[in-house]
Amino acid sequence: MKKIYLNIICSMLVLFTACDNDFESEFDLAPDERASEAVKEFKDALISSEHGWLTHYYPNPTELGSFTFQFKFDETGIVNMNWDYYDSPDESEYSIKMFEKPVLIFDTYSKFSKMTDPEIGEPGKGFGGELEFSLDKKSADGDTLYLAERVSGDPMVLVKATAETSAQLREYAKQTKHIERSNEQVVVPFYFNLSVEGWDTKVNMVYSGDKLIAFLNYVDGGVAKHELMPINFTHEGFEFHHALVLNGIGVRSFKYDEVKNQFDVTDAGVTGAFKYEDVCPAHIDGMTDKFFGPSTFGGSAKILSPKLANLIDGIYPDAALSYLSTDTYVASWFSRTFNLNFENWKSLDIKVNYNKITEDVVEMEFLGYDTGWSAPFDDLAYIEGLMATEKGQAILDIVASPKGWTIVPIELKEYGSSYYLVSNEDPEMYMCFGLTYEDDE
Amino acid sequence: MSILFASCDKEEDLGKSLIDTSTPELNDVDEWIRENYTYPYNVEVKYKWDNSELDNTKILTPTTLERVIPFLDKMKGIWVDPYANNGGPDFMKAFIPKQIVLVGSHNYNDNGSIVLGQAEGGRKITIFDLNYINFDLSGMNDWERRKAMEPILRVFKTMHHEFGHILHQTIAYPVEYKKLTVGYTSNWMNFSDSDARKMGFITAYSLLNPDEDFVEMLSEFLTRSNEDWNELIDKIKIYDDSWNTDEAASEKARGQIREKEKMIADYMLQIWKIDIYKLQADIAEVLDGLGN
Repeated sequence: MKKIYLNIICSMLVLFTACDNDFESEFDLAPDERASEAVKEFKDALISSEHGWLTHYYPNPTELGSFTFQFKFDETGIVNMNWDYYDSPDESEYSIKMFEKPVLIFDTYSKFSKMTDPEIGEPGKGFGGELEFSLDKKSADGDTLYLAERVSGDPMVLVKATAETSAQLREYAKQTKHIERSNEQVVVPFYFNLSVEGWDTKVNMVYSGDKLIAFLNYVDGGVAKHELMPINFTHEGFEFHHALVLNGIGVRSFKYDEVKNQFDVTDAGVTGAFKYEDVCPAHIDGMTDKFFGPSTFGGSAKILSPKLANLIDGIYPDAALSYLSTDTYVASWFSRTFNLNFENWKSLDIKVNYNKITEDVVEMEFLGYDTGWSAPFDDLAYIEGLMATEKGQAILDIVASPKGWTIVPIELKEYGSSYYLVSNEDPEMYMCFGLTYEDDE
Repeated sequence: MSILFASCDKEEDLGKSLIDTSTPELNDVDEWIRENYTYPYNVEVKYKWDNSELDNTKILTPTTLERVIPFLDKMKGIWVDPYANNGGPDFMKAFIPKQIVLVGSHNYNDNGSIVLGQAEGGRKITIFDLNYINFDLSGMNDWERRKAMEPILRVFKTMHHEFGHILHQTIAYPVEYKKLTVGYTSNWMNFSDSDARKMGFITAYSLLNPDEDFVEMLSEFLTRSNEDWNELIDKIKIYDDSWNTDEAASEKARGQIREKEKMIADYMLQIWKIDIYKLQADIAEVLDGLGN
């Protein structure tokens, strides 16, 4: 009985304690009011910037480089925008909603929606971006807003734009052309190498314009290393997604020097530059087998160096050169061909053996010519006549040079990789398999 | 007891309400939706991005703002108004889904197929592809116009399809309908529409089950003119091993579809007081205006 009384008294004490009206909240405002305040604070921050905000947005930071956007948010829920890709102002409705944090939502279709459009990038998958971003924090001076994708948590950093930002955005695309050297007639030497004071090695970079990504090759401690590095362009040059650190020295930012035609490192306290050289810092294992070994699929090279294009063009009097190609390796007893394809859909097929010289150097051993089904390339004598000319012999000397061709990958995938094939006889002769200029636009 | 009474003190100031009842800012599109869908039919149309309304495993984009009113206007002309005119305004007020979600992009499945629309229990319809539907057919030649009409007809067929589900789930169609044809299968995707018609089904998807058969019949019927419908049925031909027309088999397939048409017409008239031939004519008139 005493226990029962004791339990009743204890329960009453608990009840009275729980009903204490003098409880003081940690906060001045109720939860809903605090949520409303947070939403208002986020919106006020977004609309506070006179020239809007600049962001280098990586929709998929492991596989894609960044798209740079300038956003200008207004009070009525409209965000005006432009991007670095090409000059095309656009607008979207936006809203701020409270979930676990205040979240910025791009409500209607705009240029920014291309970051999630299933028709762009990998079919059905898109670039991998998002349309909803929570506010993580604001810099002390309010000039930087740190946002995070609501699902993946990947960052989007908004930096206050200036009066110059709109004009600067139009400079971004020019840096792509400096890297690709698409404005230059002769692109030699071939290897785009980064040298940094304090590093023991150079780092070679091959840029893939369709994914805004750099393929970095270097030797570190005697070991060949290869790394995919998403990049973003700036009005002055470009930046790596994250610093590349060797010997304890990290580099990330580069500025184009027009006089020297190179990109200088701009990271504080670091001296170095990206420039085109004729040395390959790191050869890559397995390239010959991957692209020219058994069970390979062949491919087409639609981008040729001007010197190689000039060498081949004119060999066939009836049509200009269109592209070069290799055929699928079906069986070892079936000879393979290296094909000169012309604008009138006819091709001159050179029978070759693809011999592996090193892991990334392949030789095209000349075996003769393959006759086609239609005139004039169904006539072996006609083909041999063309190739017996001085031009024909010069083509064979390059194509079937015993020094071979170095394979320089741009992007390595299970299927559909892209790579350069650079002549070791003359590095000004090269061809690119797997990419077209149209892909980069 | 004294504690109880103290907590019921009417003089206590509860402060301002925490619930925000203010009217949100409305743009022209919002105003148009209120006038044409919300006020007359109590329908919420969500065209702005809201991940919580969608399958967040899918990669999707919102609609382009300028496509919203043209689409909803045409949807009203091709689906809402004809039903309201033929079934009476109260009919549409009762059965129109109360939430319509618009999505700009295609909705891809893992196998590469595309989901055109989704309906959830008669309450919500989600429509995809809006950014790919163009209602401005001016300056197009016949071939271009036919190509441009394909996504338009596809999306409005989806609306009629999903609405058909709401109707038969409210009052079931006669059980005899399910016995008119045999051969329902979950492997419907292995058949073409042409194959299905030879079996007495209007489309391949009709093969899935009688409910889908019923709404496919209704939606195919309502999104083409009676002349086109008759031509579609009359063209069904089955060939024997010598590639001669098997008249008996062809007539049987055509007869099965005609029997379904009659049963649907009777159901719609008796249950919902809607003459589907009049409804078909009304919709065809609007579609004809679009195509020309």
